[in-house]
Amino acid sequence: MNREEILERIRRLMVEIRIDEVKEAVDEALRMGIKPLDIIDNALTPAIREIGDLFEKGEYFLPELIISADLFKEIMDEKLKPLLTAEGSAREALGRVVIGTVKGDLHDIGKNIVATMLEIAGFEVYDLGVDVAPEEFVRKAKEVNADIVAMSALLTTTMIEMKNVIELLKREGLRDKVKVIVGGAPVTEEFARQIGADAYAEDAVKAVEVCKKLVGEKTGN
Amino acid sequence: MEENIVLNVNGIKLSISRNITLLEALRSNGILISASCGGRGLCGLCRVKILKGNISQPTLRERELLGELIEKGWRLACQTRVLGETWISIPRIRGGIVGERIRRSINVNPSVILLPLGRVSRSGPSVIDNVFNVLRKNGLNPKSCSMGFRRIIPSIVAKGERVNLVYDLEEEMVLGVSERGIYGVAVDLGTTTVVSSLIDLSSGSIIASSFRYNYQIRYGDNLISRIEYATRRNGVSELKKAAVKTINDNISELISSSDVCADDIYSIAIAGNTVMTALVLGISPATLGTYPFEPPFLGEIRVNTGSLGLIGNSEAIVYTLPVIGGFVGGDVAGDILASGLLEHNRAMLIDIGTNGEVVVKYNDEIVATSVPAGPAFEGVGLKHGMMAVEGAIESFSLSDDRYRVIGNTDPKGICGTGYVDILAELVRHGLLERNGRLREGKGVRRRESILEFVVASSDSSDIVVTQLDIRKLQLVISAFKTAYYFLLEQLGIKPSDLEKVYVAGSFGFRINPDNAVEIGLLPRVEKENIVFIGNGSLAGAEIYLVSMSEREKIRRICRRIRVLNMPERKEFQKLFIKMSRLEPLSA
Repeated sequence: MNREEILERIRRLMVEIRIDEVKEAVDEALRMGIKPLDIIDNALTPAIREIGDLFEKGEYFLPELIISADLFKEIMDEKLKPLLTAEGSAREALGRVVIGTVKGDLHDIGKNIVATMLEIAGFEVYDLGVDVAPEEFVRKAKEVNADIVAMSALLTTTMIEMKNVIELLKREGLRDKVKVIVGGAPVTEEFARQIGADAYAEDAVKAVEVCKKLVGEKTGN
Repeated sequence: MEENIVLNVNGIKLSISRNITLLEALRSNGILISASCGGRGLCGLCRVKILKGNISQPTLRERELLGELIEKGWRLACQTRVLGETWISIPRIRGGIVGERIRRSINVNPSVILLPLGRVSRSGPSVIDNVFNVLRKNGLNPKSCSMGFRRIIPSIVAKGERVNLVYDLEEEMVLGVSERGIYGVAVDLGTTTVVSSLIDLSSGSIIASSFRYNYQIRYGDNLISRIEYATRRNGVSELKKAAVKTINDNISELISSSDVCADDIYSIAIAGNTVMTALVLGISPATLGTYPFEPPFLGEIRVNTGSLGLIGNSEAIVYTLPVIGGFVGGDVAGDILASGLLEHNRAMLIDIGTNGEVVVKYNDEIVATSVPAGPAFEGVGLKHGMMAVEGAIESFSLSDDRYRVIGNTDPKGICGTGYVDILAELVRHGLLERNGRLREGKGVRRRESILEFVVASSDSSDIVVTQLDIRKLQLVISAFKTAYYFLLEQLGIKPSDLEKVYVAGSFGFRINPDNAVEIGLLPRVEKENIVFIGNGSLAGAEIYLVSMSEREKIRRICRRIRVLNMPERKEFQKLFIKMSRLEPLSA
């Protein structure tokens, strides 16, 4: 098997979520001397993107999305990251994201998926969980020097909390240092604009795209 | 000044602004008709028949979609503007489907009774004392009487006429006198629909029922949006007014169709979820909008018709059935009353609706939880979804390639019961995997990269279920399945331990039980142990009116029910995802 073949094999097995076989194929690739970054960029990341597409079309569902994200993290943490660190070729994080479901709201399935997808994409993610008060968002954003604050709300009665977080960021003088992205079933582009957020994303796949764009804007790239 | 004109819909007069579309006119009056394209003239579902009147010319879209039907008077509500007084008819919501209900037999012992006292003697210190003396001789213990009674009784006694007294046994209070009869009104105050029935209190029999959409719909189509509206300035009072008007229009229809006098209505029982109950009383449901979702109050509320503005005798008492906890309100108290849940050691009650509930009883313990299921089974958000009205595919079988359409017309869409059948049949025949993924094969095709199953084909357009529709339905099924699994687990029992499963909700009345079990919407028990009770809230409100003993029992029971919130548990996400498989809950 050559490089192209083994990378293609990893990609295909990952899309089909054949857990043990993907791991074996990754080991095989490493034995063949293929660089961890090559595996990430040319096999695993395209696979995750394809899984995202299948989810958008309804062919994959929540279990596939969550299992594949977990699998990706497992491969990264157990097999690839240690090598990257040893080689000194570990990549710098794309940016730091503080994420949470707003105060009064306990929904976390969507938010968790977004958090994992962001991590996979190369962000450093700080997940504050559910029912997060504005003060907590702001405190964490300060503490980790966040680039992005990401908020989720599943209820029309709680989405107004997003505005409170933005107001508090302003009062604390942080608003021009962080970008704000919002999402969740009742949230719309229009609403995001109204409350003064920088961006809105309708699902996890879009959220990753948008966050990449936001850090790009920040650094002026 | 905006000019108002009259629109007559199925014989009901509405006042509307000139030059708005029929769809807008109907919606602003709480009448919902299907329009899955959002009123852009694309789906053709909002068809109505113009009987006579002054309306705009047919648009190009209407000509395309309706063709010759336009000559017969058919138009699309979203495309037609009303220019002057107009009479229309909309395809009938099938004969009282939302009111369909069955209930167990109960002892009829209403608290409001009619007592023929004969002529009252004039021996005591006052007229009221004389009346009370007669009542005491009859073994009653009157404590008070209404102002209306104080006003009317002296002249009756003075003339020496016979007195037919209206007496409330529970309040121990004289309400008035009646020459004709005494009546009550039961109300199922739903988020979407409001169904009412007129009850003869002396016999307990149902005289008439009426139905209309909740006028609150203009403030939002789901509970959370109503709560949100209630937090605005004057929001609560606007929502209260809309609810009261909906009920009053129901009552007007009931009394005019049955020749009953409004003054002879002596009690009204309202069963609604916690939010609806609070709103009709003019109480803010704001705390239900955010965690920890505590209701404004628990238990029953009693208030006079007059203070709410409801039609009826001004001394009549309005009861709202007990709020149990969280979102679990009087609608569930009604379901419990109407079903036989309390007669079993181990039984379950599921109310399937946009806001669903599950209740499980195990010996002396009763637990309940609410299920924010969403409106997918009402057809909302699905490609060809529609309510259970004329033109909806309501059942489906793959083995003989057959479907049934409400009203025996051409199919226009699919309603909830149809979706249950389709999912189950596709699973059985291997076209749909248990994980919810369609398999390409007979009847399954790809359109614009999305998989879909063709349910019905016609020359103009096909009726399909898409892969995305299936995912939305799966989320609802998973919500119910997670809820009943969670409650069963809390009590340490298995589905197979259940002696009975009661299914409430108008949608629930027509579900095929085998199919609902196949996809996990209902737990697996013997088919004969699944009992459909239909609109249990309405039946429960009726029982509340006619049986004092049942009323007392449910008040007691409701205090004992523990309401549990699922999402507070950490493992909820894992469980929810596990439950999304289209299969019966394993025993």
